[in-house]
Amino acid sequence: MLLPTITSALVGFLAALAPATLDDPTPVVVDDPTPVVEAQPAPKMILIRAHEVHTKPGVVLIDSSVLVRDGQIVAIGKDLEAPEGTQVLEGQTVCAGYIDPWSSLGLDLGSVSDLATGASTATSFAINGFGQEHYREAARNAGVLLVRSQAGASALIGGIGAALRAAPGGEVVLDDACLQFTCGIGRPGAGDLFDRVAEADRVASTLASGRSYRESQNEYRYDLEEWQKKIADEEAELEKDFKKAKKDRDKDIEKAKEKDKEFKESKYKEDKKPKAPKFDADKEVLARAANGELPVVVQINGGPEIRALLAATEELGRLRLVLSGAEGALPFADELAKRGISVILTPTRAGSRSDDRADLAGALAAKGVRVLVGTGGGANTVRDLAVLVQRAMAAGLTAEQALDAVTLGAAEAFDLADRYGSIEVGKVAELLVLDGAPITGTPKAIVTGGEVVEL
Amino acid sequence: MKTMKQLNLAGAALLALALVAPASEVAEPTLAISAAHVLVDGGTVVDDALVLVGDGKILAVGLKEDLLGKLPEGVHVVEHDGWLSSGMIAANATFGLTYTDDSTGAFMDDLRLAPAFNGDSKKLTAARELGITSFGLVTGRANVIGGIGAVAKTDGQIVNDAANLSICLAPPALRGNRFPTSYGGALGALRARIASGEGALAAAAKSGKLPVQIAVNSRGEIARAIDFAGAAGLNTVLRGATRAGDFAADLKKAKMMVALQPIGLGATAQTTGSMLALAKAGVPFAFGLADTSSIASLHESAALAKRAGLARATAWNSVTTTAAKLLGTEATMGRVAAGFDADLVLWSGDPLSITSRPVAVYIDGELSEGDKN
Repeated sequence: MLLPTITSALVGFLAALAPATLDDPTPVVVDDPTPVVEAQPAPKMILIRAHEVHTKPGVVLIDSSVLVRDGQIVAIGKDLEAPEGTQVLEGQTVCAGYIDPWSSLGLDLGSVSDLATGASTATSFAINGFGQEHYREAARNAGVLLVRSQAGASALIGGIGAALRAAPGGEVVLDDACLQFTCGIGRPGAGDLFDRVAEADRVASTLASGRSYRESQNEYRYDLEEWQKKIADEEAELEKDFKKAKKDRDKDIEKAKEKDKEFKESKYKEDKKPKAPKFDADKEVLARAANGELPVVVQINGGPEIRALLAATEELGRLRLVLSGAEGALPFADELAKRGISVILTPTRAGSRSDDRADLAGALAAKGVRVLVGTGGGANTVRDLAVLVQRAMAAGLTAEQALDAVTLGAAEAFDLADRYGSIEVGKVAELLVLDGAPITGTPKAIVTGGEVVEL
Repeated sequence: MKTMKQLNLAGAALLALALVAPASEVAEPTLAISAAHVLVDGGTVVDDALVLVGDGKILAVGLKEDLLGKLPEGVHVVEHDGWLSSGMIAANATFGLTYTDDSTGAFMDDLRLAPAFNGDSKKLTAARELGITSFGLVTGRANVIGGIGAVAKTDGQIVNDAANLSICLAPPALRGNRFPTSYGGALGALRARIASGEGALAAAAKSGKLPVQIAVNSRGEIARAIDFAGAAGLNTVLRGATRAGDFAADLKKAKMMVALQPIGLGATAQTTGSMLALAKAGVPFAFGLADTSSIASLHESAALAKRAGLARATAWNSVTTTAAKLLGTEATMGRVAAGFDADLVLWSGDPLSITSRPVAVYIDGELSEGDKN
């Protein structure tokens, strides 16, 4: 038994040693079970058949299917073929997984309540994927598959928010989902009405300082370019007429000798080089925010400060503003709708209807404001997102607006819509299968991270 | 769903029978409400039903096709293309009370809440708008014996001015600056009062009829309350008692009931598990609002309890018939059936859904909220 093995190993060795010099075309048989090329693992296919496929808010495909390959949606249609080995999932309804646009999932209390945060403070650095698994599990089981978490939730400048999956470990899918500010009533130390309004003004002026920073940087870049061009021109001039320049120089040396003075070489004046503005990490972020490259969330509730904020940010034309809390937003609904400012509400049920914030969602939506619903902080309540939306539905939010509030609306507000928020070919398959309509139905299964979890 | 259907048919048959019998003795109907679904109680739904109301009472409930022909002329018929249910009942609440606790002593045996009740309170309006029609008026938790409470309706009327007694065997009542400062002190004093035969507590112990709501929090307090009330022979309702499920067997044996705090968002698995354990053991429980500021949480408790796994019927009964049982008004409140008070709510959708809201509320047959159609 030993001999053939040794022989074959020897043959293999020889073949490997000098394959090119061997003239003998006889193939060498290597008795080795290890394949030379590693086989590609078969793609993980999932086919979800549902009576209603809510591809996005307001669009329903009846008796259709969604095909998922390795966690990505590859086909949507009526009679999709399931390749061999496909896991088939059936349900009444399928829709995009819910997104909580206002949460603190994955964060420790200290990070959430930190008052010393700045514009460049990144929530993603504080995300702890090890603890709180029971909160994430409860969130997933209730259909909430993505959240926007925010550190510094009470600080005037809270820093950069992160979008993460409610999956085990809490994978961050976007580490710069927004820049958050908090101002006015409800903020520790917000003080009286003047202070509250002043805080709103500070938000706007802070953003404007970011814009100035960007402007001064642009100016520097322009000046530097000019300066470099000027030098290049002069150098070219010298190159072109070197002889004349040498003659002039010799003449100057002669002149200096005659006058018994030291000859001074004429030089480019380095001190004329434009000075780079001082690098400021916070202003870098503020500049992006002021320029509309990063959505800006302002947690704000009182009417006067909302009015002040809207007035002060009007001239920041590129700003992509989102209000959260927004209890006093109703009088400004028309302006919010006109400026395309979404609001994130937490529909609480207070004592009576008059101070019932569930009503606000319906009222704002009716005026054309895009309403998002978020749980507003506590990691333990993320799982109740759908219940909050149901409260808003009781107060007039339509089924379509309700689904938008926790899927596509939230995804678009935080630059996640290229991957999440609806069922489209090419998007990530973070999906929810329910026994009834979206939001009101009970989740029966989730598709997340390319896997099916039956509930 | 299948069982529900069967129940529907059985319920409809029974109700139709009930209608035929007492028809000659009762008042003439002055109002009729037709609804697509009538939630008679948690387990019974009648579709395409008509409810006849006269003299503040429900006169009959039956299929619309059976009853419409027998309706006298000139009776206003309200058409509602949705759900109709009984008004919800809070096992306890402090609506209409400005000062919920007397601060002069820990044992306010004979203090009566009814004279302090303000029927114009805005909280009553809010509660009514949210579909609550009656409640047990109780004191806060600051005194060991808080006083004699009432059963009131959210239109401002007192139905029974001596309907319950409030006791607290938990820290808010036991504090360092007055007697009693300890559990032992409080229990000793309560036993002494019962032994003396004087005061409302002694009377409640003697008759064993007056519902005594004992506010407790921790497991130790629950155990102590069960021992004390059982020995005293009180008609016991544990108030609060979030962990009462751990004592479900004891409570069942002692025929005690529980007025839970509302199930809110973020309720722990322990809280909902305790509630499910009570249901499994057959301990009657309802929800109370005395220890919360959110009036809306009564309706949500039923919906969230169902979401947490409680049977639909038990969930609805916890805010209607079982609450009435805790208050001793189960013969007149909590069901949409002949002979019961005409406290009715028309809903925008299924009453057990959070997306539903009351669109009209009737108390004793009088419309108090919403538009007449």
